[in-house]
Amino acid sequence: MASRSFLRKVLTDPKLRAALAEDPAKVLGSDLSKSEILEVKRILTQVRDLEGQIAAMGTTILCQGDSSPRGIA
Amino acid sequence: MGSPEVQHRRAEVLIATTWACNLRCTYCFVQENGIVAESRPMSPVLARQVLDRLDQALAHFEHIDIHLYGGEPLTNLPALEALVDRALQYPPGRFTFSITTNGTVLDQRVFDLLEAGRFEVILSIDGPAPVHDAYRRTRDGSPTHARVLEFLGAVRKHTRCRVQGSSVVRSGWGLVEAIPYLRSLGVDSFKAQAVRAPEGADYGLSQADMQTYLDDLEIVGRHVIEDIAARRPLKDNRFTTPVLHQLLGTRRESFCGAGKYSFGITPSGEVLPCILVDAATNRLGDIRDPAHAWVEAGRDWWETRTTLRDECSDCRSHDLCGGGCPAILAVCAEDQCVFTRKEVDVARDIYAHFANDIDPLIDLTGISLE
Ligand code: SF4
Repeated sequence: MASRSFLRKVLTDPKLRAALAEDPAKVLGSDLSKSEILEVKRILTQVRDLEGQIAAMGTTILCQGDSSPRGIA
Repeated sequence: MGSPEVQHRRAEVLIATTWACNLRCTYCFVQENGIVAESRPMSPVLARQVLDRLDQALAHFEHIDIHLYGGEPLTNLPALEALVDRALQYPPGRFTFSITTNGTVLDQRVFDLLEAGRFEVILSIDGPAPVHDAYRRTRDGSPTHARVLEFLGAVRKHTRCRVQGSSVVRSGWGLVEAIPYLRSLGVDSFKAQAVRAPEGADYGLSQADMQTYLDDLEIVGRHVIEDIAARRPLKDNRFTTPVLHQLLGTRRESFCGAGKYSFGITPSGEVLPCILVDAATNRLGDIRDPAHAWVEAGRDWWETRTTLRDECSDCRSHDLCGGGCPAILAVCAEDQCVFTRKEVDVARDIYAHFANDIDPLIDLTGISLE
């Protein structure tokens, strides 16, 4: 179920992410297995972490490093 | 003690353990703002205390990246050693370390420290000797380029640290010259950015230099597209944040995470939203205060930054800019906005290039299917 196309949709659609976070079965159907629900949760968590990471980074080069905000030389 | 519940992955704390520096670089803003003379370096006792207080106050973050800043941080080795020593007593990954350094303190203790803390080293090196030495000199006017190269060699030899090369672009030294130079050093990543100059400074970019810089950003953008398409890891991450925002369908709430995800600590233990903002008007508290006080003050400060300034409301870039860096708007204001708008435009071009096949952009997220 967690195919590349599913990942594409989840990554690019904030409304879908919100709906999945609230009730994955409502979005994807009630016959989801436990492992499928876990997989959805795993991807949502990773996207949420990514959102947090880019929110923390400065917009421009000034504050950017490889993995977190960075200072000015 | 803060809430033990982890809500965020990573916080960054920029710590200036000293404002003193062994160099006198022409364009350095720290020397200009008068804080150097009046400030004492952080003591090892306070350094240890800082780590413990951060662990408590930022319990809602899984990792805390300590970014050492200054002044030249390596001129206060006792405090740095105390920080790393204390950090190593916490579970692995609780604290990670970065350092922005001028790379002129050559001492085996330095390399032992960098290796022990597995630092990411952000090394200031502008270009070849004539370019670098024109502005990056010691107090007595001696050149430093050869020492910086020696430092880079020693980091490579004695440590497993990642190194980011950092060059300041200015009049007579352009972006498309700086980037190949940094690449030639074999560093893991690099950044090159326009000097922040007060009006009238001779090293500042002229109108013609600024236009060249903007044109060069387009060239850099094309190289980034090539690297993304070829699935090569990006060494220049200047466009990554705005590209990822477009991919995720999100907009920036604020220019950066200062006050909420990142903080600054001065040599005397004052807590600021960012080490680069004016301490007199932006102070959140002291590291020895009850932790919740400065964390809450930081959140309030961040909230105020989410309201766009009037100048920003009509700006075409505000969705991906977030309203400008409070530390540099005071110095270079509209000039910085010209660069930011161009970077945002180039980031839009990069995203548009992959709009029909976003898979190469997914690589930038680091997210994978099991
Ligand atoms: S580029 Fe300048 S004017 Fe535009 S949103 Fe950013 S800070 Fe505001």
